[in-house]
Amino acid sequence: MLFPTITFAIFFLLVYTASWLLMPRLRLWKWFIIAASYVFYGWWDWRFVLLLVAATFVNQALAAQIRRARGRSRVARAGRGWLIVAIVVNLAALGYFKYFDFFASSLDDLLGRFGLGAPLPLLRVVLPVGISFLVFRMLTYVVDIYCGELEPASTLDYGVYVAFFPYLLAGPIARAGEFLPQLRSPRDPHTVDAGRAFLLIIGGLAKKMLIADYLATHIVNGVFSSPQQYSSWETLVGIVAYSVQIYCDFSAYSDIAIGVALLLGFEIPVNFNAPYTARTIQDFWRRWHITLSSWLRDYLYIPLGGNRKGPGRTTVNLILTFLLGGLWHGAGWTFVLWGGMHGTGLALERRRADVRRRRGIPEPGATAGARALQRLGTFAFVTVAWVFFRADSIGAAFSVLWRLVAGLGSIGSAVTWPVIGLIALGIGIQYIPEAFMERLRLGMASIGWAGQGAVLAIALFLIQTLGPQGAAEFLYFKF
Amino acid sequence: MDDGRGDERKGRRPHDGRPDDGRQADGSRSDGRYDSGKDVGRRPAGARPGDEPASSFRDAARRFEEPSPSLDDEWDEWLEPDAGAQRGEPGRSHPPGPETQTRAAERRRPPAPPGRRRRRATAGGALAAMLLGFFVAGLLDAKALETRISGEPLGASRSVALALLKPMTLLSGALQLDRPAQAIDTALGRSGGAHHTLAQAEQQKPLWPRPVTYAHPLRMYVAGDSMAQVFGSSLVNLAEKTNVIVGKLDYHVSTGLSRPDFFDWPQRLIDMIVEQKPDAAVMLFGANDAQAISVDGKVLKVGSAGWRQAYVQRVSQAMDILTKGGRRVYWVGNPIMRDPLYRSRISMMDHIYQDAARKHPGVTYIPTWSLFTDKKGSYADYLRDANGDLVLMRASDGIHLTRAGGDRMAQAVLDVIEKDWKIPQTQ
Repeated sequence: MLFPTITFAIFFLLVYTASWLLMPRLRLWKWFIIAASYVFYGWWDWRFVLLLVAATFVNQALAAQIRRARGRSRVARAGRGWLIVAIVVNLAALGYFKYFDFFASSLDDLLGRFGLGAPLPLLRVVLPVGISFLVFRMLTYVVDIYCGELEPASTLDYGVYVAFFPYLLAGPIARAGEFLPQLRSPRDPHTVDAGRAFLLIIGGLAKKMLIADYLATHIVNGVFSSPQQYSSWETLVGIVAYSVQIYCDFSAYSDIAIGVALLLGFEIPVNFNAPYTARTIQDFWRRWHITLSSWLRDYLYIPLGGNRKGPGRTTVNLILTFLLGGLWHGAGWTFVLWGGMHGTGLALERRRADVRRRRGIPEPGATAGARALQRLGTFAFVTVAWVFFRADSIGAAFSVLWRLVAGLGSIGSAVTWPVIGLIALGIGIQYIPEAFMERLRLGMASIGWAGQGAVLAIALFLIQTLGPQGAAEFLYFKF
Repeated sequence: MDDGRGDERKGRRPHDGRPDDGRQADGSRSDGRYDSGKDVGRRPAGARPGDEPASSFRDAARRFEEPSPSLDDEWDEWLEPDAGAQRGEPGRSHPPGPETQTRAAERRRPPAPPGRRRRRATAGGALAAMLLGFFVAGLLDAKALETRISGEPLGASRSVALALLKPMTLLSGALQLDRPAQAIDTALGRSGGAHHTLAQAEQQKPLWPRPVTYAHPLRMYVAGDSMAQVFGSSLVNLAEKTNVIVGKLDYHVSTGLSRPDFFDWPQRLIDMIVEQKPDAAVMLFGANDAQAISVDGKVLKVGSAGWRQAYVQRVSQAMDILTKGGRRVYWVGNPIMRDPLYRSRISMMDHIYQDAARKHPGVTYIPTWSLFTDKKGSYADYLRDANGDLVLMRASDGIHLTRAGGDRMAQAVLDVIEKDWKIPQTQ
């Protein structure tokens, strides 16, 4: 089920009503929300539901083993064996569904160079939607239990955590330690943060339907599928438009997910914080897909040794973390290269900061002009990296970049005022002061249900009328 | 909009060391009966701080509990906000999200003044707002909803939805609530615009055969449904590399020849012939056509004799329009599909195209079915390319093509076109 559809609107109205009616009977509510989430997920393919059931029981059993081993023993690293089993099982599931064919075809290419035949059958495994997000959420549970951060939840609670439909498909990656405590007592039906939730949902729909989908169909898809038909200017605008598109698409999904969860009485973590206002790549990663970057930091970068083992090792850790972070997005060399670019960029930035500190050079960005340049530079880096993220192959990415210099001449017909305007809007909304947003939230919360209903009606009408017919899938579903 | 940037919530780390005084993040107090989602990240009841094993995960966690200057420095390095990031901009209040909140920043932050508290709604109030919002939006947009639902495949669910929508449409019309949508459509130039006629299309008389050169290129028009998206752009790319062909791709997702009420392809083809003046047309249809057809109010089921007759007639109509004036038409067949039932239907349509092409001079049918089969003649996602590498040819739905698949199909079509127009072969 997709968020911006009438089907989901009807589904949600029913689930919302039933959810609050059942809330006083928490146990019953939990069974209900699991069932509703299974319907939501099974809408694509009922077999996917089996995956959720398996994920629940397998991880719960492993978590119990880890907890038992830790409880009996005062020895350091107790339960480590079970933790490793849990990590391997989860990653194996991800690997099987997502990377098997990538691995098999890469191996075949490699062996083919030496004149050897195909060693592995290509299975063309059907990728369950959102499995990357699912596996990362599962890992927070077992790892946090191993670290003593979390006690195993009841299987019913854990089943809710696994399947909770707002974040099921494309994050945010809510950690077990953040979500499970919210299941201990019924949510309060008198303190629904409806004002904020409605704004998030309206804003998300508008970003998705009005900005992202328009840019995708009017310039981005063309520039990336047939680069040689576009001029240098069109290509430049097209790749900048993709930066805006992916932000408006992915952050929209997160915002709608957070809004939907809020209406049901749950808080799930914020995922985006004006990423294109970042002045450094490091800053960008504090603002872009925050739940993923902090996951990578806490569950990969720090266990690798973080930056405690000297500058050389830090560089290696950074690059490795981002290579794997890139691969998490998809089975393809383009994603690996994209991750590698960000990892290398971060490592270089760190080195430069070290050198500056040693020589006593003050931090850059003292003047407004310098800060604007930093923002522009970071945006340019991120945008070039997105070209690799978007392109079908590394070769295709280079042919897009090559058009930037090879297609000089007239501007071309794909650069239109609506395209320029929406790019400006997609970046501009990230510069809206937080104080203004908070005033908006306060205002929305204070106008009562009739006022909120009127705002919803007008917003939904405008989004539906101004937007394209039919909803395109969110980009991050693939990951 | 990005949200929650300044929304006061506790950090998402397991322990943020702040005293918990039972105060809600918005400044209100919980009545104790319910939990309102503010206990994110609270320490689990049974956790014992003393007996955790030492591990790198543990180290990471401990750092949250034992703030020390050196560790804080270390955190500054990657994802933690360094103080400098906020120092530089006094005029701009842009607190980072809860994930990235430093302890220091949290300590600095003043408690929310009581006047700025966000009013919370009751669950019933929020439901009322949603129902009101959906209802009024539905009234304002009843026409568009009706059009959209009419486009769904003919069947029971479509009929029910249309029947349910009927009172909404009537009410909307009676209250003149459909005016704003009409005004927006007019302002955006969506009200259709003038169409061309078949007579105008007939006046175009493309010459064939004729020499095609850089100065007088072959104008190729490529049309179809979502299958034509990747295939068509591959074809245009490959064709333009010859320097003697210029291409125009015109694909419309979810369309086909079965449902002119949803998307009127015959009219579209006439308009494009008049506007684009193509010498040749490449057509790829069928993926959405395995659905019921309505003729004079009678619904014909897929595969029935009546359906077949109606569909053949629609294909013939499209071929008639395209060949008017002597235009060359290349009708591309569909590749093999993964799903067996869908595959048999696509195969049936491929046969219809092949037969119709035989009856229309100027139309060449180009089969692509076996371009996408393995050695045994069955469906395969991965096939060897010209270099002998195994390449993914199909999208995960078992229907659409990847770029490599599109290139393979486009090359086969281009070979036929080049031969037909005596263009030196490209490979």
